[in-house]
Amino acid sequence: MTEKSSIRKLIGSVTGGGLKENLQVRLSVPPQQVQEGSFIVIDSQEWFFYGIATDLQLQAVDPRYALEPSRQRLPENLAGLLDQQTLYTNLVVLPALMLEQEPADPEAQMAWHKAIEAGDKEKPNPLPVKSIPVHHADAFLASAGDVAEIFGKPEEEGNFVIGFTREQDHPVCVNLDKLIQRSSGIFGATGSGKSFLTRMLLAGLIDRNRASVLVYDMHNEYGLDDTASDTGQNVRGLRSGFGAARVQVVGVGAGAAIRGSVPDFNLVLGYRDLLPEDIELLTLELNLKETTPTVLDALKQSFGSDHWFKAFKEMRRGAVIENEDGKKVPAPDSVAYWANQCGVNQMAAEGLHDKLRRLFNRPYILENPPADSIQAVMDALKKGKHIVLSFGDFESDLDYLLISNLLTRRIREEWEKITNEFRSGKGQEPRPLVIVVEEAHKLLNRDMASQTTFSTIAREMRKYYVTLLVIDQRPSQIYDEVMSQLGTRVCGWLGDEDDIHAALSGLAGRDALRGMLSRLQPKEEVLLLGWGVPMPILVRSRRYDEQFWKDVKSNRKVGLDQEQVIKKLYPD
Amino acid sequence: MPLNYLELQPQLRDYAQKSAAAREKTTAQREQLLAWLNECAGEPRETLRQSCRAFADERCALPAGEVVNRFFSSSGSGECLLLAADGSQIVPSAHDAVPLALINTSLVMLDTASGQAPVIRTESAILEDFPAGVEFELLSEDLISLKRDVAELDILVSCQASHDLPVIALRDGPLELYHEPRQGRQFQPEFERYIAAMQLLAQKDFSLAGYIDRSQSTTITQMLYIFKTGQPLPKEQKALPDVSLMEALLPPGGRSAVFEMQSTSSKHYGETLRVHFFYLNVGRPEKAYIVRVEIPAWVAGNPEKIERLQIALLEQCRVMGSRPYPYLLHRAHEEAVVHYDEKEQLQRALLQELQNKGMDAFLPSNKLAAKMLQSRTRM
Amino acid sequence: MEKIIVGRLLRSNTRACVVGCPPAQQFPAFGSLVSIPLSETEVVYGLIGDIHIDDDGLVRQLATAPSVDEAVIQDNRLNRNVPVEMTVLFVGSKTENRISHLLPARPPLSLDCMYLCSTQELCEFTAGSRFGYLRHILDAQDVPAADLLAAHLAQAGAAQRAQGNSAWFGQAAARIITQLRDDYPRLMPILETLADVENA
Repeated sequence: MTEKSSIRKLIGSVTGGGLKENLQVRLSVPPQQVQEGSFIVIDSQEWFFYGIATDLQLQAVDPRYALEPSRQRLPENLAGLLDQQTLYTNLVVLPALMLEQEPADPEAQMAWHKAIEAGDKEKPNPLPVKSIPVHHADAFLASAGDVAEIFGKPEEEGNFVIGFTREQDHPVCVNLDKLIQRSSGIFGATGSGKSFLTRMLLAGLIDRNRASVLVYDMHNEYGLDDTASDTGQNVRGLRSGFGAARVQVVGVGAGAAIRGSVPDFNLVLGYRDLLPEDIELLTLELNLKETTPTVLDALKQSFGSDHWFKAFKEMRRGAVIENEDGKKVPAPDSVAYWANQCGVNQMAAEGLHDKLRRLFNRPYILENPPADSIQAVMDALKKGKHIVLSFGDFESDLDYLLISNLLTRRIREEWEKITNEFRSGKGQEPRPLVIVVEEAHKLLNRDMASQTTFSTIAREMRKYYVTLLVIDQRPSQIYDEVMSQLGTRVCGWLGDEDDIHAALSGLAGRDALRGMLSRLQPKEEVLLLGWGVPMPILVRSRRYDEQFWKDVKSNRKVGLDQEQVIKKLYPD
Repeated sequence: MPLNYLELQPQLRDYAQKSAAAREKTTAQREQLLAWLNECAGEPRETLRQSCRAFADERCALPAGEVVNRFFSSSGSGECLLLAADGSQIVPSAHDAVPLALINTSLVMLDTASGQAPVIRTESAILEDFPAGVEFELLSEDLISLKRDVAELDILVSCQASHDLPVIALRDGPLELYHEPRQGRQFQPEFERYIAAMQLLAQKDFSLAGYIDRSQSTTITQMLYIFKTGQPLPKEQKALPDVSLMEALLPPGGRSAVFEMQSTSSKHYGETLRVHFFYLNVGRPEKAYIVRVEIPAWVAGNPEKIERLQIALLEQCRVMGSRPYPYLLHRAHEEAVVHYDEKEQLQRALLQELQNKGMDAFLPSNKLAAKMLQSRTRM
Repeated sequence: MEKIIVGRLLRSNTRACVVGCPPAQQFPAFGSLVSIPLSETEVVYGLIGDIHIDDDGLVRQLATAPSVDEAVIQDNRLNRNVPVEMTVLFVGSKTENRISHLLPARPPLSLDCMYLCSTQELCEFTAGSRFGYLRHILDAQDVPAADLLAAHLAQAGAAQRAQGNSAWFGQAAARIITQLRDDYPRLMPILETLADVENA
């Protein structure tokens, strides 16, 4: 149960407000002791209310008290007394949760506990706020116990300390099991500390090992050690942290090297891996015409799903021969010839051929790859390994879009299959999988979202044990429907109004949270929001450093020494 | 009804005009009288006294020894015990529910050098003499005044001077009881008591003095007329008041020579008590203010007493600032005066006592009742 | 120690009374707490809110004199029938040793005696952080409320400090602020007056 109010820090009392316009708390402490985003507990008779500070407003009983400094007219002690009663700060609290309190009276308390033990009464759980505290209810800065009550105890399984409360350093946990139940997002402008946060969260997920993680590491940041762009210090990669037995780095292309290191294995696509729909997803990137689907369909009809790519690649563009009449006509191995044969617009076919030439030449697409590396990736994932797919030198959007789409499509098919088998009692339960997508807006924007596998995963694949972890700096570019599916959102600093709006879409109290997002301290603070966290909270994110890795390796849970934290805060 | 201002307006103008003319005449008169006074100063005292005594019924000044056209200043200050007595009275009215006669006398005693507050004593007495019944027997105003004069001297006599200091006993008004002789069953005994009180004061060696603030006396003027014309001024002719003549003679703080008072009642006072007087300028250089001071013979014959009296009076007048008047006399008046509401209260108390004795139905006259009707009120 | 009468009641109503005393007497200072016993067990408490010394024609005339003798001054103070009038603002009462900050149930009567309260009584009346009586001062008409408060707080503050309660003045000031914080134009001059007490 929650701690007694006495060890919380009293900061004021409720003077007004409501569910719609938030609660007003008149501060009894200097405003600097409470900051935007603080986790506030309100003790209102039989209920605790939990909320987040969204604004601080300087107020005066009469504006004249504020306009004229009292110390100019009065001695220090009288001015102090006057200011105490006439000038004050209003804290605006966005209420989020309410929790029934145990009775204060010892006898009633005992009866209360007995009723719970006997099953006559449900054990109180934090509920979404449905009422408001009474007037003059005391407001406190949350204690470590409050934070643990709501966000979980750091020492409990599945809880991962993502950071600490801003003022008092109480550890704030994210429940990793809950995190992977739905798709999630990590947002933040460039330089807001997004990559570190992602590394840390991934480390948590891998360490927790309840799901396999597949990271589309477009910029080769996560697998192997890296150097921080700002501090120049070495940043440990996930494979370095957990070892190759748990995390495998897969490089794109045969003989690929990632930052000079050899990956655990390479991903090479075979011609037959590429399906016409994979090409359609590149419409924007390759600037394909509206006729493309027709041409692709004809190719599939002509050569089958397995061979269309090879056949089309081998066709010659503009090749002609002279016919009997001495007229130049399309050569039989030309694109035009095939088009004419199949009743496809010749120019459309030739146009598509021109545009696919970029693909025809990709070194990681081979006619006969030595092994089915896609299957290898999936097998590894199914076996509980974690894969960081590093794109190595293939950092172009084309490579990223093609490979991630193709691979995800295959994964989706596979997981649907094994899930269905499991549900029909023929197989084992599929291992949950989290697909980490960087630069997500490139795959999940309004134009593409309807076509890619990613949006399907975001919307439906929860049922098939696959969820997304979307990482992006421009959440406004991500399709609304996808955004609305993201359960947990971890937001770093966002400057753009549209991005802020998007990151908060579909959440209660977003007006109050908006300003907070724009004032987050880059690389230090993040806002946790959404379904995966009981209530929005601002946290000072945990450091991704050697200590972090030591804690992970020793399986030591941050926050176990919370008594020390409390001692530090309340020396008396 | 209000005054008829239309009618009064020309009369006011006429009045002012006549006053201006009279003032011019007065100035001329004063010049002449001054010249006569200077002339008179050269005459032997006895000659002058005899000339005046030839007209023994005339109120007239008699030179007492000092040169008549001189003034006398005083210097220094001397500690003394200063007594001031004053009285006031309630005169019974036929219109009152119960006519009531009362005399209230006060005595204020001051040790002039002590710096301490004066000691005050007040004596109040209802005059009861009503063989015909309380509501019908009215004492005359003159008799009550006489009784008050006697009471004032009595209260001075009653003062026991505990110090060895010289004592000055002041009262407001003339020492001479009345100008015209009074006869009657009730007057004579009072007069005798008055004389007896004066004698007691003489025995106590108190310097008795009567202070007359705005004297209309013409005794010196009369003396000069007799001296110059051998005849008193005809009754129908208005004489210049002595104070007007003295204004030209006395500097601030200066007093005139002491004169003896000749009148029809002089003979009743005897040698020791005979009334003398001098004039004193208690004003400022820019504004003379002449008062008459009456003293009995036992004081008049002692230059030291006269000087002490002069000093005390000037000092007392100075206290009152711009409107000189002996402070102690004013205080005696303040203590003695019976205000209207006090009279009302006293009458109510008396009425109550009478009712307690079963005497009912005392009502004010209808005239008084009508006068007492409440004035208009506003909603 | 026998209590000394400092005056007698001239007139009164539910909120205040006027008490007269001879000018020569050492009358209580402005802001002093005084008591008027109504019976053996009932006492009305008040604060001296105004001290009135009337003049009259004689005093006005004496004032014009170049100098006034000590005897004359003493005469006017001791003998002349012009009492010093003190307006006493009722602030509470005591019945059966129980202090109340409500107005007395009935006002004292003519010529009732008024006594100056001792330091002990002053502390007793103002004890316990109960400042309800301050409203009577703040609501009073026709008295200089700011200066009356200042005078009272100075006296009571000193008495409480002497008994070890040095926080009393601040608590009283805080209470005044609470009562008047919605009335800026009234409160600020009062606080400035209190500042003078602090500085004194």
